[in-house]
Parts: sequence; C-alpha cells; structure tokens
Amino acid sequence: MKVALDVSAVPVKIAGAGRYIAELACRLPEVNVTTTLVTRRGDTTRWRALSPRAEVTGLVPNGRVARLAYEAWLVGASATARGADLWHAPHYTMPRRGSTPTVVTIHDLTFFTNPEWHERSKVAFFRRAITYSARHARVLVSVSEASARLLESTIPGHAPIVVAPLGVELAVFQPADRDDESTLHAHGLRADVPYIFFVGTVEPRKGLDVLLQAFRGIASDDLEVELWLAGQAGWGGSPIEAQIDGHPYNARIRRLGFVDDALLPVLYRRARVVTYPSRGEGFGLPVLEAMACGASVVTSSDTVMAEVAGDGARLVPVGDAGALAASLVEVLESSDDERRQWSRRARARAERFTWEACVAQHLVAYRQALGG
Amino acid sequence: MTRAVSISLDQFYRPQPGGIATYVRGLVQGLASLDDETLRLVGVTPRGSPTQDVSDLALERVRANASVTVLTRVWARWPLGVPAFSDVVHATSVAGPFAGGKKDAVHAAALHDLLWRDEPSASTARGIRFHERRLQMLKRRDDVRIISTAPGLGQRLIEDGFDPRRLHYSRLGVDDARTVADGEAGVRAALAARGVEGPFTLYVGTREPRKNIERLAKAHALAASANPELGALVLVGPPGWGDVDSGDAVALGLVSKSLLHGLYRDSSVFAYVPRAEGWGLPPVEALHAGARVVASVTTPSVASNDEVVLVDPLDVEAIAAGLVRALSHGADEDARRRRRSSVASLTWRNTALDHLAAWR
Repeated sequence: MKVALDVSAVPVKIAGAGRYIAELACRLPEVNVTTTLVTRRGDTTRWRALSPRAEVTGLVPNGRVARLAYEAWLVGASATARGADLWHAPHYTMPRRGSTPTVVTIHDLTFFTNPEWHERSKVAFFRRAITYSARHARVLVSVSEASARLLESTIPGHAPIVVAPLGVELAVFQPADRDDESTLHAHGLRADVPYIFFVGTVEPRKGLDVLLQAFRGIASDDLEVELWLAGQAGWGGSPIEAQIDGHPYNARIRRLGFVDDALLPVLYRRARVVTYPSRGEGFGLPVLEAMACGASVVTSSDTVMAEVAGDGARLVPVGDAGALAASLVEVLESSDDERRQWSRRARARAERFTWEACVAQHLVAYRQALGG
Repeated sequence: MTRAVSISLDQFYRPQPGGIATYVRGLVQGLASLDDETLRLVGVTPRGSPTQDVSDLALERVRANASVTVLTRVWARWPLGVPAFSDVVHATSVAGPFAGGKKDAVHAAALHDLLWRDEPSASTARGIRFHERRLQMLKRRDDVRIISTAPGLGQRLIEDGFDPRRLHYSRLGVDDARTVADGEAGVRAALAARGVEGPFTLYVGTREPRKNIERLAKAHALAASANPELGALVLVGPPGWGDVDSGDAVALGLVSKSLLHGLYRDSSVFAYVPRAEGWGLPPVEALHAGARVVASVTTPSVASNDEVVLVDPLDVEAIAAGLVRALSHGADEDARRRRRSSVASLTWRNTALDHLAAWR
C-alpha cells in the first residue's frame, strides 16, 4: 500500500495534533506501508531524520495561506498524489482536485460547537473545509469516540468514520525516575519545590483562567506550592497573560514555555498534581501522557478527556474553579498510599493507549478507503 | 415565607469533634425547638463518614463533593455544597463556608476563641497560620456577620480591628433534654468496673497539654490525702494528644451521655483548670447537674459565676486549696438548686434565638 501523508501542517515545535502526525510518519513505514511524507519546502531534512524509511518530498509552500491554497488546488494533481494509492490529510483539510482516494482526520468539532475558542479568521474557513472533507473523503478518522459522535451529529452526509484513539510512548512516558533531579537542574529548575503542572498551548479553551483562579485559593493557604505552566503561546492569550501578571501569587507561577521530550516526562513525574482543565479537546494528549507517567491528574468531566482518563484521573466540571481547587487540594493533601493507588490506576489506564494500536486503526481506515 | 438556613456540619467529620461540634448540635437542637415552620434548616456535610453520630440532627442534609480537609481549604473562597436556595449561610467555625446561597443571602460565621494565639504550643505551626489567615480574611470580609460565642471574645475582636457593627453575640446552651442521666447505682457500677469505689473528683475533656491535667492531678493528690471526700480523680474524654502525665487518675475514656450526666451529678467536685479556654462547656454542664465546681480563672464560661471556685491554673497549691474549698459549698438540694439556676439562662433555645437575631 502506498500512502502519501501530508505533514506540512506540523510546526517546528511538535505538540498535540503535531505529535500524532509525527508518530504516524515514523510508524507507517514500520508496518510495511510505503510512505511518502509531503512536507513544506525547506522542511525535508527534519522529516528524513524523524522517519528514515519514508520518502520525503518538499512540495508545499511556506506560509499558511499559500500552504492551504496549494493543498486545495494543486497538490491533488501532483505526481506524488497520482503515484499514491491513498492520500492521508491528517489535519481537517484535503485536496479539492485530483482523484486519489483520501482519508482525512477530523480532530474535533469545536469550530462548530465553540467558535469562540478559535481565531475568528479561522472559524469560517475551517467550518467549510471540515464540511467539505467530511463529505468528500473516502473515510474519516476521528481520534476519540466523543469526537466521532459529534461529527456524526454535526455534519449530515459524512463519509464513514474510523475511530483511532491517540497513543503514548510508554517507554518514554513512564513512572520510574530517570535521574529526574539532574534533568530539572540542567533546565534551571529546583527539584524540591512542590508544584501543580499544566502543559498546553496558551489559548482560551485550555481553561487556564479557571486554573489561575483556583491557584489563588490554593496558594493563600499553602505557602509552598507553585504553579508551573508549560506550552507555547497560542492565540487570545493576552487576557491570560494579564491574569498572570496581576495574580497575587505571581511569584509562584513559573512559565516554562515549550518543553522538549527529554524534560516533559520528568515534569509530569515530579509534579504533585498535573491538571488539564480544558473546556474541550479532540483528545487531550497531555492527560494520557501524564497518566502514563503515573501522575495524579485532574481534568474536565464531560469532555473527551473523561473518555481517555477513565478511572485514572479525577474529574471536575468545566469552568468550576471551586471544584478544581477542591480536587487539586485533595491531591496535594493525599497520603503516599493514596498517591500510589492513583498512580497505578493511571498507568494501567494509559497502557491501553498505544501508538501501535492507533496505527493499526489507520490501516483499517486505509483498507476501507481502498475498498478492501 | 420560608427562610432557608444552611449550616456547616463539617465539625462532625473531623477526627476528634470537640466543643464546636457540641455547639453545632446544640444550635440545631435549639433551632428545631422553636417549631418555626418558616425556617428550613439544611446541614452541609463533607464527603465521607461522620466521626460522631449525627443521625438525630433534625435538619435536611446536602453533601459537598469533597472531604472535610479539602472543604476546610476551599470554603474560604468557594461555597462547595451550599445550596443555591439558601437565604442564610452560617459557618459554624473559621472553616467556612463564607459565600453561596441566594444573591442577597446573609453570610455569618461563628467565632469561638483565639486559642491559637493564647496557647500556641497546643497547635501546629500550620494550624496557627491557618487560623490567623482566616481571622484576617474574616476581618476584611465586611459582608460576613460575626457571631461571638465566648464572653470577652467580642472585645478582643474589636481590639484586633473588627468593626463592632459586624459583631453579634450568642450564649452557648447547656441543656440536653433528650438525655436521662444514669442512676446512682449505674454510675457506681461503671466506676467500680474501673476500680473506683466511693467518692470521686471528676474532670471532663480531651487529655491534651492545654487542659493542664498534670497540675490538676498533682493538686488533687495534694488535697485528697487530707480530704478523703475528694476520692479518686476520674478523667472522662478522648485521649487527645501530647505527653500528658495524669498521675494516679483513672481515665474512663469516652462514655455515654447518660453516664456522663450521672457522673457530673454524683461527683464530689468537678474540676476544670485549663491554662486557656475558648468557652469551657464541661463546668457549665457540671453546674447544670448541680455539681460543685472548681475552674481556672481562664475559663470564660464560668469566670464570672459566683457559684464556682476560681483558681490560678499555674498554681498547684491554689488548685488543691480550691478543691478543698469547693467541698465546703454544700451538696444539699438548696445548694444544688443555686448552682443549677446560675446557668439556667444557658439554653440552646436561647442560643438559637441569638443566632436568629444575628441573621435577621
């Protein structure tokens, strides 16, 4: 099977959906799929290093508008597309010209359900693009059951859906200490500070505003605990920045920015509690990664994170700072025994989600798209 | 029109419910005794099991989805579990909650003592910090009415900077209509089972350093040698904490309420000499049972009661002399009636009326 995988949407600093696309790029050749990675021009070296057994072709122009226009109108007719059995567009959009059967991954439906979580300029475009993809792809991939159900109810006349939950690299994200103190010190971080950890792009949907409110209540009684925030700046972050700047416990809020894979598991492991109070996600990968590290996790109920977390994390209602604070305090105050029990449950739950299983589901989608 | 009053019941979920739990129980009992059909009483409880039976409390229950430890931390800011229909939200201690209910709900908090300041050695550093921060927070929270339950506490709060217009005062009750005291034979049998025959001197309370039991035991030993009417020193109450040497005293531990009331009644002298105290319910209960009482001058509940022999809690000889002096106060029915009437106004019904006035 020859598959062309469009990786041109993946930024240099890989996180979230980018992680998913990079994992596919590396793993498809491992399961005997002849894989061509379609990258942005000038970005081929990175992908050759990431996935040595894949073909890499730098067709796509840089710049978001040019990239999306190229994808829509030109790439479908390219020799690469014509030479593939299947085109996989892993990030909502797909070529509008060309005859190669196409599989599209729809991560979430928040452009429809919660447009306020996105830049206004993107909403109309992605609504149209997702609707087009849903109706013109041979098969759709959804990364969670919840997203699949929402896709079914939001876009009538959609293509068949295959659910492929994301995975976690269990050997990397694991509970055992790997000289964690040295890693923290190497990054200028103290190893003896109790901290609440959040990782995610700074944008309105992540619930950082609620977390900052909760931290205000927690920090007033707990004189030691800090709040460590990792992740890249997204859009709409200025109210959050203002909230952090004006926070009464600002001195105990640490901004770590983007953190790489060497540091991320350490931060999960060493945290007193990991929290991901997002209002909605396609999958919520940090929850899974943290659980794989045996961390105590608090995330949002009635979201896809609840589906991923199962009994491995504590759940609180979206937007409820009091409930979030209560749950965080519960973890901060928990005994070593309780922590161990939660840790075991979290790891056991996370072990159900592997990239191997995710790739296997993609093979199901590909075969279905090819009429097999 | 019905008025919904939400009352925090967290005290019954703490490892050792103490005097504040007695206050909450009495307050609920007093409110229920008013038979006011316009009052809707709702108890807000934490998750988990109570450490003291609360099945008899006559009020509706709602449960917050958090443990007592967690609620204590977050109730300062978030009223978890407080029903949105509440017209009054009453915090029974500095734990809270201090918010929630209807938009125009009345928020009130009962303050019982400043023990963490008076007796810092009896608290952990964290406990002291917690209480002090809550007190300062309540000082800033103009919207919360403060109900002081101990004599003298209100004045101390004003000196600390509380606006006097926010302060309300309540007496604590001592009556317990539901409990029938064990008879004399039952009390004798319970004591005999622990090797105590004849007269006895009684102490009731947690055995912890602040209660000054070491000095009481020494004073009792000093006085009892020449005054056999004092008999053995009998301690009732939970073991508590700290290294407390109670000498030859006999510890009965926790006993039933009916036995407790019988013990009060039949004691030669009731002795209660803590170094510091928020209120001090046991000596009032003892007076209510007609017993002769020796108490430290630092016990607010009886500090101005003429029927009580007051002593310096740091002076062993003075405590011993007080025990002997108390014996001279008589145990005849007239003397007993005088002691009972000295605390007659301390009813939970009056406590309830004081609270209703504060919530108005």
